[in-house]
Amino acid sequence: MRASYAVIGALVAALFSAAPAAAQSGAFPAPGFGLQPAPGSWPRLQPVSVSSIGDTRPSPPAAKKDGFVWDNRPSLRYGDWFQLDGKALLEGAVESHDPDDTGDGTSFEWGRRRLGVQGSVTQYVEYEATYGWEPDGVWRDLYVNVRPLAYAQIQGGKFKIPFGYERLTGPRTLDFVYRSRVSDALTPGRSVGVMAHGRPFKRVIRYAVGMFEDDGDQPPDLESMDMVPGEQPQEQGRSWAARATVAPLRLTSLPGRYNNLEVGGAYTHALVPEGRNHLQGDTVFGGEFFDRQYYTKGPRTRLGLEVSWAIGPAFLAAEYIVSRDAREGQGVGNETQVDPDLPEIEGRGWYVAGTWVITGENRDGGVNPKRPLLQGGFGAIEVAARYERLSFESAGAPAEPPSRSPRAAHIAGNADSAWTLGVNWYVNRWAKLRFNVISETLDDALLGPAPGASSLRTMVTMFQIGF
Amino acid sequence: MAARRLLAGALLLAALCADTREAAAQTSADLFNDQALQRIDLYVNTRDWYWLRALPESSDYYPANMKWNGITVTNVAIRRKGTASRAGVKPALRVDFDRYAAGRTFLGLTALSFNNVWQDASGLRELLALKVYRTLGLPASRIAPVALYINNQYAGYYLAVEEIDEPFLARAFGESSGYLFEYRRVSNYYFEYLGTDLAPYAAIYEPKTRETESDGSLYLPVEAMVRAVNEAPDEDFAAAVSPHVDLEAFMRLTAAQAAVAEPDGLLGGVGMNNHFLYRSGQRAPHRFVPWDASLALAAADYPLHAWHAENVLMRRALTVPSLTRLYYDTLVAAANLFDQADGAAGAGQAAPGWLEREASRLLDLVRPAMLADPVKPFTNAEFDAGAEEVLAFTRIRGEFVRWEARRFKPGARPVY
Repeated sequence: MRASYAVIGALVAALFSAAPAAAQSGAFPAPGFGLQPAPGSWPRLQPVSVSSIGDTRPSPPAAKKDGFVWDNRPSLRYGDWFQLDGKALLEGAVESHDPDDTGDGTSFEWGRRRLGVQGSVTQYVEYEATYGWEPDGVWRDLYVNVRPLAYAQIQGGKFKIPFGYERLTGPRTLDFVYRSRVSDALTPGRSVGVMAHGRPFKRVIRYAVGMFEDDGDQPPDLESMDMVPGEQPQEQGRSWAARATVAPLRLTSLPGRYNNLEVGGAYTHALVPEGRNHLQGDTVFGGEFFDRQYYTKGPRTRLGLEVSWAIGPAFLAAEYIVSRDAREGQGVGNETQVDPDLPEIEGRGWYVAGTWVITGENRDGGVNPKRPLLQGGFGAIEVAARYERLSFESAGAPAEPPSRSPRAAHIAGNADSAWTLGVNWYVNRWAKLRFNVISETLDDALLGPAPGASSLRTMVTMFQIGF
Repeated sequence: MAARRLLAGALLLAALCADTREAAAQTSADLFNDQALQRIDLYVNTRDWYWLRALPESSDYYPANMKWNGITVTNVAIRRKGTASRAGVKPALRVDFDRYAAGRTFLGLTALSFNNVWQDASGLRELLALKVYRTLGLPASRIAPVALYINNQYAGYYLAVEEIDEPFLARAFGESSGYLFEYRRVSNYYFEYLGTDLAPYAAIYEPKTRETESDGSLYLPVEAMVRAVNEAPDEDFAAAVSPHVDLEAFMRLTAAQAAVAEPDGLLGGVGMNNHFLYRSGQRAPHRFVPWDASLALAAADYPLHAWHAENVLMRRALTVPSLTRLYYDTLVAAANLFDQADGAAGAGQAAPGWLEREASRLLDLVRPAMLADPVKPFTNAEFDAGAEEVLAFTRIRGEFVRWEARRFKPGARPVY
């Protein structure tokens, strides 16, 4: 809680002190918490400002001033040799659910609370260290990136495994209060590892290949099994991931604000120890619609496809992700074999999302209001809509009735389909409000968080302050 | 995607049709047919089977497949069961068919018990006792001898026993919508009044149906029954208690248990034990259902009045002449059943009675399974001795019961 107050204090102080600078900054994308290797964020060697997710444009000519400066955020600079930028983020949300199964009514909860620094040492080394309290204190990002060349960089430390457009998008440039169900459920999140990445061919292609110590922090904690005599302890194996995107319109003569269509794909592979450790499905409403009921063991793979395109004030994005959790030796046998393999548990999800900044600001790299509140305007307004579906089932299930048995060959799957309609109000460069109405429909209501209720409604208003 | 769903739906429909077709050819009567040794296969993940055996006190469920007579039931749940019989190497098991899929049944059963024959060297006692109860028209579980295989390896001789649950109630009483309780022995209890607080009744009678109803709904009728049994005036006992207990059914059951020399049933040295209690509605009388007769056939001269004086219900019921007559009539009926001949006797021999014939027939079925049982807690010699003891019981018990019943004719004061 003290940490929250520290974050709030730092933010308020910074925002008050930053007002004059903000007035001078003009329409320039806001730096964010979009971390490596988020779309648009990899070629980040800009000694003046470490750019945010989606910010692919060069920084403006910076005043060559050493020492402490405010350039949309507090910063220490010594020529091109050293830069240290402060970072902070605070979120809170008011939520209500229908049906109100907990009886809490409308409730307030803190969201992300983060403090950190990022910057560079010479033009060849970048770094970031961000700590978050959500809910427990943990280092979110802690890495160093060495970039001898724009197309050949090496990053090591803790950061996001390169998988999933929306997962790699930082919270300050998300379009909705919550990421899609598929991003929450099927992407790996952060881990400790090393990654080669870059943007060759005039930044038309973006690639990343990395090796990590585990499958990331986004899946729930692993369950360990009691060992039988003679058995060796099972550790989670290393994972590896690869992602590549291409921006084909960069090869055309389209203006820059239209040519950032990006399509790509990604793949991950990890070894997951024996236990009820498959990926699970959670509703926005709160609670599981597909819980960790089934035993798994062996490789977990993910395949993702993505497309994103910012066209002036409009933005479109879509993703399709399939995950598979192996179940080696988890069966109950028959006349001819003992402990057979079972069909994999397949998670499959997609979303299509679109936004429109009705006040006309460009969407690329995030929305930065032309006329902030109390500076001659009321900020920027954006409307957003998303449709998504996430399902879990057996891959190639045998012809037998589905079951909740933890060793069922044909598991009792479930799916969640959701509409989200939203309005985003960008008060100024640092502050925004998001209002979302989310309507979810479960295929099997009995397996949902409010048994018997297949339709779930969530209304949420979130404020966000950060730099 | 649509094609895949269509194919999956067609496969599921085909599987369900196949399952129904196979199941239609068999019934639960076939499963509990004691004219044959039933082979039942359970397939369990080796890790689960290890932990099921390694944790005797645990009642955790493990997934399994079960195969009987060509029918495979996938995704059943098995767990350890029993109290005194919680053996490590040869666990007694309960199979639940509906744990992982609500409403699912197998041959109309929602659950099935596999008793591990841990306390009976002959492997015959429970088979015979429950058969006697059913033959006398009492509600009791069906039971069959089983050669149980786990993961294709012989796991020993077991008894498949019909669970006391809703399908049983429907079969035995014609309806299953009432209140069913399983007795949990916490101390030597002889039906004394436990007071107006419902907690002591809840401690000994665990609800098996309508579990979510209030304690008042579940146990006020139980408290009223016990109070009536203890406090009704002698001259008005039957009239006062009959609304709460089916006294005639109680007398028939206690007589049958006395006839088969059951020392661990409704009347026993450790108080009441091994039974269920059922009432079909809030105002209906309670009925007792026997359970676990593995210690029956205790001795050919087991007294017919054992623990009558200690048990309040039995002691007071015997003061009602019509109930006393019913008790002795049932004893004689049981004795006559035991000795019911089938055909002429051999030269110089008495014709074997029904109970002896049943014991001999079952022994022929059980013997190979018992001898091959690698984990039974008895030697083969002990098995032979136990079987001979049971056979001797079957030859003598009928005459003993008739003689004793004549001696203690209705109205006479029991002598122990």
